[in-house]
Amino acid sequence: MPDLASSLVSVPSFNIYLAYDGSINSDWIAKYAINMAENNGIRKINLIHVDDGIHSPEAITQKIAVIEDQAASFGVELSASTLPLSENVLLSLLDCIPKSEASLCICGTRSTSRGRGYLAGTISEKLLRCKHFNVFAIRVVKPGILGLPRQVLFPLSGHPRGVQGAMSLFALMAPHVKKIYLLRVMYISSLWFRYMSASRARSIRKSGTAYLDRILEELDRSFADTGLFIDGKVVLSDDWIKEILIYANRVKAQMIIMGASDRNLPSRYFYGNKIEQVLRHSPCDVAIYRKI
Amino acid sequence: MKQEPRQIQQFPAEDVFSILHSRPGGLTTAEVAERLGHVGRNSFEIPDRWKVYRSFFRQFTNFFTILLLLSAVICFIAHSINPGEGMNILGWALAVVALLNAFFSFIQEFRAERAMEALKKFLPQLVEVEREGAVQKVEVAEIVPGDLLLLSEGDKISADARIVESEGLLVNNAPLTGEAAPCPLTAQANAASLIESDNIVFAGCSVVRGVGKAVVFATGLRTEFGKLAHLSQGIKREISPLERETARMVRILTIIATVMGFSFFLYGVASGRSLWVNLVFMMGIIVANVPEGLLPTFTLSLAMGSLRMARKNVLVKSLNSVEALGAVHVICSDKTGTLTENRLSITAVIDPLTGKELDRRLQQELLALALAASEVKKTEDGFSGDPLDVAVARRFIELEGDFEAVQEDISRYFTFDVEKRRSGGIITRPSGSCFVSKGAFEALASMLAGIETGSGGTASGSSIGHELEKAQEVLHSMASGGLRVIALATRALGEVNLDQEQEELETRLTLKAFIGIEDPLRAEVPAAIKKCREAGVEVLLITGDHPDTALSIGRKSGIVLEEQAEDAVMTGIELEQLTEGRLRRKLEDGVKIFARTTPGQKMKIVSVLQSMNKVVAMTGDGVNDAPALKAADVGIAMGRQGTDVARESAQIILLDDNFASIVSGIEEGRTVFENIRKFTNYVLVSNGPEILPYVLYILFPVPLALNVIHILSIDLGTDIIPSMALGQEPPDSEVMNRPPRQTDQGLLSLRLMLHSYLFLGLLEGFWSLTLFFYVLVSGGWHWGMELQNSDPLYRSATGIALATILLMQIGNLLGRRFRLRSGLDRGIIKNRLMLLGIVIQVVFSWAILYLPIMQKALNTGPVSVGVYLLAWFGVILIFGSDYLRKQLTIFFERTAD
Repeated sequence: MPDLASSLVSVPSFNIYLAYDGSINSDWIAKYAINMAENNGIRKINLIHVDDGIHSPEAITQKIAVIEDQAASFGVELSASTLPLSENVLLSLLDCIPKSEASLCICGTRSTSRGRGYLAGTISEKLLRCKHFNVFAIRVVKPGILGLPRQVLFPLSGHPRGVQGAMSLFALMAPHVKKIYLLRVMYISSLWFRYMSASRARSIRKSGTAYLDRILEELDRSFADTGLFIDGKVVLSDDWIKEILIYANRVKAQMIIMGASDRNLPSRYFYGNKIEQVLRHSPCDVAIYRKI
Repeated sequence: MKQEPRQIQQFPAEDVFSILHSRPGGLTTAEVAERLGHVGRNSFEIPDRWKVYRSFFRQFTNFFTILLLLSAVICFIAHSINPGEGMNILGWALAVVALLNAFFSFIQEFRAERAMEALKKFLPQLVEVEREGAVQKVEVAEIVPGDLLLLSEGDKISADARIVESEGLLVNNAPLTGEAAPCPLTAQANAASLIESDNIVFAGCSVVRGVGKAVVFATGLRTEFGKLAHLSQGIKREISPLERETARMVRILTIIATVMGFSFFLYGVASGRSLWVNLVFMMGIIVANVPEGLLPTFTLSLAMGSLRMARKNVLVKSLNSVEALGAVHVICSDKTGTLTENRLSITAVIDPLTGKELDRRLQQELLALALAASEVKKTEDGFSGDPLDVAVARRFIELEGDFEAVQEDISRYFTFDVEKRRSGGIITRPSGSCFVSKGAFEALASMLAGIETGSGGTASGSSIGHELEKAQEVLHSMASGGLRVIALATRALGEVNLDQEQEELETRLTLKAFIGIEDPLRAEVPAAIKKCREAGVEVLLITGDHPDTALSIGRKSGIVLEEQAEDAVMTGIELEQLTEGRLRRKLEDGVKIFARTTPGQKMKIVSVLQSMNKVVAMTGDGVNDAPALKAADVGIAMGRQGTDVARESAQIILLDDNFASIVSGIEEGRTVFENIRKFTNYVLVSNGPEILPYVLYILFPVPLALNVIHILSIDLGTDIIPSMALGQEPPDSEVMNRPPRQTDQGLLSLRLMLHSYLFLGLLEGFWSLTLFFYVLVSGGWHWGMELQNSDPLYRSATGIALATILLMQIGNLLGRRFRLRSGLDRGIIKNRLMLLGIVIQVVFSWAILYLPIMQKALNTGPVSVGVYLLAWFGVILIFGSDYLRKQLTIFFERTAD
């Protein structure tokens, strides 16, 4: 298993694909793509638009031209292609983006929920699940940060690898990030939470702190001499979504980065639901990633 | 790391529209609709239509409530199987107790929502925007990123926005930053961080002066104010030590009750008893194990504690905080108004060259000049105006100056300018007319041509540079002594021209004096800090003031000692750069003062202290203090200078804003916990004699000595007043000489349970059952003989069993007053509730035996006076045995020492 430091020492080289639907949301996501491409070994974005007939070709051409200008101002090349709609948008995208560890697809979550959720059932969710390439699905709620989050929050699920999976994708953002915050929420059932003794709470917190300290140590080693501020916190709670949102607010996080779940179906349903809650109530932009 | 100008405040105004996908004529209706769909409404509230219902039903997930409701259901079932036993009344009684408990908790939780209502007042209802080239008034919730806001004087700002046009814009950012001074804004690009930029307007703030246009870049919860609102709304206060302890106690007692009840139910079924008997029996065991009156008594005791606190200027909003305050390990205190008087006072008028105090005559003359640059009016109550100007006037009067005469000499006043940081005026004195400038030394330094103090020190011309350095040193030395320093400079005017502009007059000034101002420490604070130290309560000072000022107050108050002063201070900038782990180590190393901090940093300090297993009290008064007040174990808002938001977010309000009142509150809180422990011990003792008859009944062929109604008459009847009396016991003289209890120091310790159940409980059970069987046997009962409930012999026997328990509870009550003292060494009469409790026990014990109405209600009967007197002997038995135990404990503790 490669260590964290090796994920960061070299400049990542992804072939970046921007799934662009022509909405204002995808204009905002394009800013992320430009900023990430700027730090990529290959300073190029492959913009893919599937012509689903929602926006007129003229409007799309006009919008792409603006993005092209913005990309050029940061020394990023933009190659735009408009695909005809085959069976559906997903298949068109899957046909177009090479199945490779070197491919990174940047896409948006559903921009308006209307009771369906922001990720559930979306093309982005299907792209995350199909595991053909790396995916970075973003929900933008604060366009004012212009795709450049300075404070980033990683909620930790307790996975032994910590945030290792995110690091090569995060490396594309890292040069602009000033602060990283980690949050380990030790989940306790609400029925038990109220009745837990102080000593039991202490012991659970201790195990969470040991885990967090290990991850912090790894990150400190990896980002040594970069001046990046890294901090973390362990919280005992019966509502970990709420804790993520509160901590994001507290540290003024500008982006929450969460991994897509690899769990079995029932817990994926459960976990997926929780991601929806973060997407719905987040005070800042949210990215859901899958690194293959 | 790269430093490109790529944040919204760093771009030139003309680029802002394209960056935010907007245009000078504003957004189109279609664009607004699309963006509204993407980022949602510009509102702080998280829509949750089920919140109230969920909160209400959550109250019924409490073990205790479930148990009481379950018992009620069993009663109703029992009543339907066997009517006429009065079980339905019992069922209703239990249900009402459960509902009242749940309803009370719900109301408490619901009240916490008020902070949000107070925050909403900071947003306008309607906002003026430019859309599709026309000015429109739209609802605040309809604002989206890219909207062009039109700002003018008096407007409340509805969203975070980047200024693109500004004409003398001055905004009040106090709700967000806590900084009272208005901030001037421009449309120029700025390299500072977002919050410090002078080209950004923030939601929740207001326009003081000027007009401008701004493009929205964040709305709703994504604005800085929205984050504040979300934190105030979302932070769940840590469970209070008492809540945790109560919950744990309830869990233990519930488990004991349920396990015992079901075990004996199954045993009864196996031994062939009827289902009805087994049901009654199981319910009896459960009811006997659950101290039904304990939780209501907790509430009453806390309510009485809160009333006592209110008399000490500590207004309690949440009852649990009464005890939580007593459990506090650390108090994080503000400076202004809490430790100090929040009244500026001039304490020195100093020669800027020598640093020496000027004589009184000279001080009076200089302050007369300073009055020319002060906007102050004499009123019936003293003076009105800017606090600094009032301080000048007050000191002038103290120096026997003629205020009215000076006022007549002033011919012009130039108001204090926030940007220039100075005020001015023209005055005619016997020595001639002069222009006076009063303000920050940095604001005056560039206009100085000389220094003339009147005490001999003069400098001008080429030597001014060197002398200014000297003046700087004097200034620094004054500041390091905790003084705020104002410079006073003048310029002689040959002829007064009232039409002259301020700028024309502000040249070739002569520095006259440095005026040292401070907010004096409250007289009672050093003693209160000393008391905290003795009580093991740490005090941290968190202030936005300069480190020197903070350290000076820290030293004077005793928060820091001389030898630890240097290492005890940390600034907000240092704090910002520390991880929580490093901050923890700094706190362990003795940092006591946080200076130049922002309200947002308070949360970090609270969080770290809590991770160190400390119970934290935090004071605050501003809107932006709300999250920290919610996050702390005890949030304390200032009653006088606090904002509505702070008051609604806090659990405790200090009516006099005085730190010493917090310390009084801690003493009261500790007493409340001690008293709760006393009456918990008292109440649990009666559980023993309530359980024992059921155990005997199921194991042996003997009649049941107490029925469920008898048990409830003790738990919800006669035990309540004595418990409340114990809850009212005055503070022990030693209460503030002990360190605060540890978070895991339980209310229901093993020692307390053994003492309650296996010592005093067993003793009460033994004596009451002895008399029960004595009455039965002397009345002709023999082993195995069954008696009807209506049998007079049975009724007399149960009557004496109940009366004995009631009387023995008097001995138990007296013994519970002190851990090792007898309980008779402090006059019982002083505690009138205790006297009333004893009278109730005595009267009730008599009435159940001899008063027909009570006999009928409780199915009891009379016994001979001799037997009744034997029941009285139980008082001596229990009190004496416990006293003997206390003496033995004292002996062993002394031996161990």
